Amino acid sequence: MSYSPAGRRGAALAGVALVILAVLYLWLVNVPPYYAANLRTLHDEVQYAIPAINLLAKGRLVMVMNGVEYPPVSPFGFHIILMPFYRIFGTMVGNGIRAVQASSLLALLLTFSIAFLSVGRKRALLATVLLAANPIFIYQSGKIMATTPRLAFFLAALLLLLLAWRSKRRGVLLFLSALLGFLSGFMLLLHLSSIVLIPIILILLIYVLVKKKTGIIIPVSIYILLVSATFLPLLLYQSSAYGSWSTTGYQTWIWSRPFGEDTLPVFSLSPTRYGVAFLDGLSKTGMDPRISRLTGRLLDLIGLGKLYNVSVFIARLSVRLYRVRGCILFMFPGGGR
Amino acid sequence: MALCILLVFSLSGMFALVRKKFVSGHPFPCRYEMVHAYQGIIDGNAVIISGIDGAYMGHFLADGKDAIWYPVSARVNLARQGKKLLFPVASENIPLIREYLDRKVPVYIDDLREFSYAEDFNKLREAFLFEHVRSVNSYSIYRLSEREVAAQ
Repeated sequence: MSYSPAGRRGAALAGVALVILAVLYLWLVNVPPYYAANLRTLHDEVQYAIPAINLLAKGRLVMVMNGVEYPPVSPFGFHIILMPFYRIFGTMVGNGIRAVQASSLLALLLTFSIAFLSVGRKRALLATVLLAANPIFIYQSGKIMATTPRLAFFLAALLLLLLAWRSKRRGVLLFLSALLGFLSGFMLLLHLSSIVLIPIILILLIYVLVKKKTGIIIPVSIYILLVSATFLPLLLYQSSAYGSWSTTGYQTWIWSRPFGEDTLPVFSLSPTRYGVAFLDGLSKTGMDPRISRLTGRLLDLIGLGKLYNVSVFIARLSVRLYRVRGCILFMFPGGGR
Repeated sequence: MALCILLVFSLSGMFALVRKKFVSGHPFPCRYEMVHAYQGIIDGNAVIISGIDGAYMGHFLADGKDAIWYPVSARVNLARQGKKLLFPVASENIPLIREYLDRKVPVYIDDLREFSYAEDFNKLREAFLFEHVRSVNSYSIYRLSEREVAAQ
């Protein structure tokens, strides 16, 4: 493939703009570990950071209270992501923020990649700016929580779907289906509400396979097999930690608790909403008709893309209306616990 | 035109965030400083009554400290699994706290979440005297003592 000098200069400018944006974004989301060590977000940050440190130091995924060991609330996916960061930066609790910052940067780069593949570099930059300027995305990137890594995984799955759409070889398609299965399974390990994303990804995969006329059964079987294989360790873990393979940490710790002020984190965001926000933003940038159809169908499937913009508008009117925005966002599928 | 509006919209959001970053900065890590203050105070056997969850407190007080944590309220995070209370709630177990004081075990309490658990704090304030030990930003750590003993 050959590029004209003007094209090369444009690509270089886009690269420089992306680097500047990434640096500006990292500065915006940078929370020093000393401040991140506060772990303020109710039980969430505590039950991610402390079991991850204990897993690294003692080999046990537990929180210790008065000498008694308790399993964490969430599945162990995010703890696994946190471990290498604690290994590299040290076991001070606040260092877990580095994992979140890295995954939010990854989400940004994945957004650029997806948009670059589908609508070109200028609009890709715009899509990246849209995500980078999302105040709630920045808010979530300053918390030791699994929300941002889940977004990165979801965007990675979307990128794989686009690559599958573009690939011409059956072997590559099978490999991408397997990778997609692993990513989807790991999203479940990050948070069980990711289960709403699995059928969406599966439908999109089937859609790609139907359009490419490469056969559905084998790639879909590989996808389902990989999702199950990645998810199986969680069932075994639940069996040992909570007494039954079907009992989750949420059931054990939270669900039987009466609704009160401590259960307000329903207003937190999920990758589904980010995905909708991203796709909604992307669809406005004037897409390649082929990709537009694909994302359009996803938006139709979710059916609430426009609501996101309404909520952003409401929240911009006044900070006091943030809860109203939270209520609106809560209506998204999978948008709460 | 639509792209320009979108770009202005997103850049305005980003500038607002930059401004916020310069103006307000990061909030003071009260919880983190509070548990460090406890680390400095506690020497051996002690009881801590707090609105800070036990997992966070336990993580910092695990090494070389023989401190027991009691939640100030049943609504403290991780104080219960579902409806089952994992630890006695201090405000509902005044005799238990008295027992510790009788055994000369120092009992400390912090007012970090007093606003959230005001009723529970009031029960403890009615039952015990709060003696100021250390300040952490605008919050304090107190040592509990019996009202009757203090009156004598």
